[in-house]
Amino acid sequence: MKTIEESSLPLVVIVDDEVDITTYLRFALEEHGFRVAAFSDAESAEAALEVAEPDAICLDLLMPKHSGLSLYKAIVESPRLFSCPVVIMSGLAVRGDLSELLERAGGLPWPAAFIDKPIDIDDFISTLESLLSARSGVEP
Amino acid sequence: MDSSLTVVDHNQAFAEVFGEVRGQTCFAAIKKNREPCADCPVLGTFADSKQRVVEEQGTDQHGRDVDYLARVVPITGTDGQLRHVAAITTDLTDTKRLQREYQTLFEKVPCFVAVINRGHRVVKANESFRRMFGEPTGEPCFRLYKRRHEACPDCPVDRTFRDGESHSSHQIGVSRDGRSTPYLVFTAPLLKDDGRVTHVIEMALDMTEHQDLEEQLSRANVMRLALVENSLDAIMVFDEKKRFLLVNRAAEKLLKYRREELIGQRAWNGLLPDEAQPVLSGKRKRLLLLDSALTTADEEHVPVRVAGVSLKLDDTFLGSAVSIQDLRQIKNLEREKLDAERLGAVGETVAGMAHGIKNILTGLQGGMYVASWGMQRGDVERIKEGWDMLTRNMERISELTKNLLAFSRGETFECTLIKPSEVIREVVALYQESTAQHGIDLRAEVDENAAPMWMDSEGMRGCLENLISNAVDACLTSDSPGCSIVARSFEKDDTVIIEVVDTGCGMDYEVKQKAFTSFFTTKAKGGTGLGLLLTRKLVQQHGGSIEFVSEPGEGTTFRLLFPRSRLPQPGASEEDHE
Repeated sequence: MKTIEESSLPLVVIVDDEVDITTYLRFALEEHGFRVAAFSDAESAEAALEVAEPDAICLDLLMPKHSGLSLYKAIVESPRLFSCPVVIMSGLAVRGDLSELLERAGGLPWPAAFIDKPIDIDDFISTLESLLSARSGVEP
Repeated sequence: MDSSLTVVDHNQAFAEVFGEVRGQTCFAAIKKNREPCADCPVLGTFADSKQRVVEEQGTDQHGRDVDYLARVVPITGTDGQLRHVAAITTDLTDTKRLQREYQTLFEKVPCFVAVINRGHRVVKANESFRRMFGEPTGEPCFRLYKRRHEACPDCPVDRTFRDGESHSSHQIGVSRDGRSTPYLVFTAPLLKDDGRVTHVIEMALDMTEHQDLEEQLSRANVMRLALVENSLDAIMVFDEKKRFLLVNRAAEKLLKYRREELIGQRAWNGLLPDEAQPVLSGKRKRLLLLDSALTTADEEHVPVRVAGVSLKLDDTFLGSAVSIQDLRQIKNLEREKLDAERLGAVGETVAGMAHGIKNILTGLQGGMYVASWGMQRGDVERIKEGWDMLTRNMERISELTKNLLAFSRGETFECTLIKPSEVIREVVALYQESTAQHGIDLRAEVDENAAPMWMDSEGMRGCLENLISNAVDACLTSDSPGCSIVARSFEKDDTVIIEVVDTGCGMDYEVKQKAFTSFFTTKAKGGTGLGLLLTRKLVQQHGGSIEFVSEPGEGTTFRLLFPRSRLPQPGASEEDHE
């Protein structure tokens, strides 16, 4: 029963190399009725995304080795995942920085949402909720 | 000659030209003909007993043409009979040759030559004249040359007729198409035996082309002078004895001497940089001093760039020209640029700091969120979890602050004269063991002959340690085994270059973008995110710059460039370079 209930909750994938941030977001999201899968590097997240079917993906951009941007590129180019909303979370100084990064990475589309760090948790949750409702047409 | 035209006698002078010809016919002896000449003057005199004078051409005993004048005289015997005719010949060969040469000169000389009589009429003219004015038909010179109806008031031909002397003058003529034509005119008298001037020979040289050239030259000269005078660089020209010939306005301004004080004076020692002397004395052809100095009239020491050239025509030394650029403004701009670069680095540091702090703030937020959730529900486990998050991020803030202080304070900046190769070898030795353990090939490639440079060797060691440590991490992170790192130093175009090249994992675009951002690190643990920033700071303190190229999966090259002209000077301390 519990399994069915849990599996009906929307799944959010979080990728950030800062463990404290993934802990924080996992905690807050689970409290608001989301399932969370957190990864501290882009490669393990990419491996998991090959099978998982998340309802939203939250990405940090600057991480060691393979960056969040290359993961974002893989998602955008994946026929299975391209419709999944992506929230980019970053401490980049201004939105212009992100535009430039996307442009340089081969003209990637603007993500579904951009959340500036430090994260306003209420804003973050409501962003996710509206993204999911827009996608499914129902409240999560 | 007798009536059969046989030469019965001749004198020695005749024999010298035509040989011993007694007994031969005159036409065979003189003309080398088999038949008598058609209009033979000797036969003529035999016929009418009259003297005649003829100009003839014969052939001498060597086969050469001989021009001669012959007076043919009848010799009547005592019986009144005309039995012999004497020919008294005068050799005209040289006179004729001269005549032909003069004629050729007259005809072919590339100016208008005319023989003019007292009535100003042209009686004879050369080829050039005829080509321009047609065959002379007795028209007066003033009409031909100037389209005038009466003699010119300053007629040079008249002057020569009056005083019998040669004269030259400039005249303006009018050509057939109405163009005004400048002529240089020479007149000379043609004298009769009695010393009377019967004609004047006049030569007129068309000066149009000459005048055009002169005008072009003078225009070029005016432009050259204007260029020199208005040049922003000081320009001075000296004669072969180092005396000032020309001083432009910028030179007056730079040296603070008026040109009247300099022109004609010898350039004294100490006025120009000593290195310029060999050009002034012609011992050196060219000179370029990129960084020199001179002292002005009011004892100001001015940094200058000097270019000099010694002026030679074939092998004769004529003098020298020196151009001097005042570098004060450029030096100021360079200083301002350095300041701006440093300010820019501060700006980037602040931006990078904000980025670093944002992550920590998010961690703190998370800690508070988790702890307060635990407190609301009395969940000790959660409170502890939140508290640990708070502690960790507080520690990070404290570490960051310490690093920031170290960055803003900087290390002590003390310069010594040291070879870059020495520093590289020391640092490479330091990492040799640990890299070998990880299977990384680390080596130094240095130019041992490179000159030493003034540098803060402690700081430079720190930079190299940082770059090599980054390279080691890049190699450890790389998927491909057997990475290598090369640290090298060499010199190119007066710039000392230090490179650290690795074949490690390389950098993505966004990592490259943030490479010099403080607190940005790709290292999972232990990276402060300040290493490259500190490295750049030290490089800039040495007047240098840092650049890098990197390809993901292929490796990274960091390059430190130190132009020797911008390096610290002996005794430089931090204050001088901050």
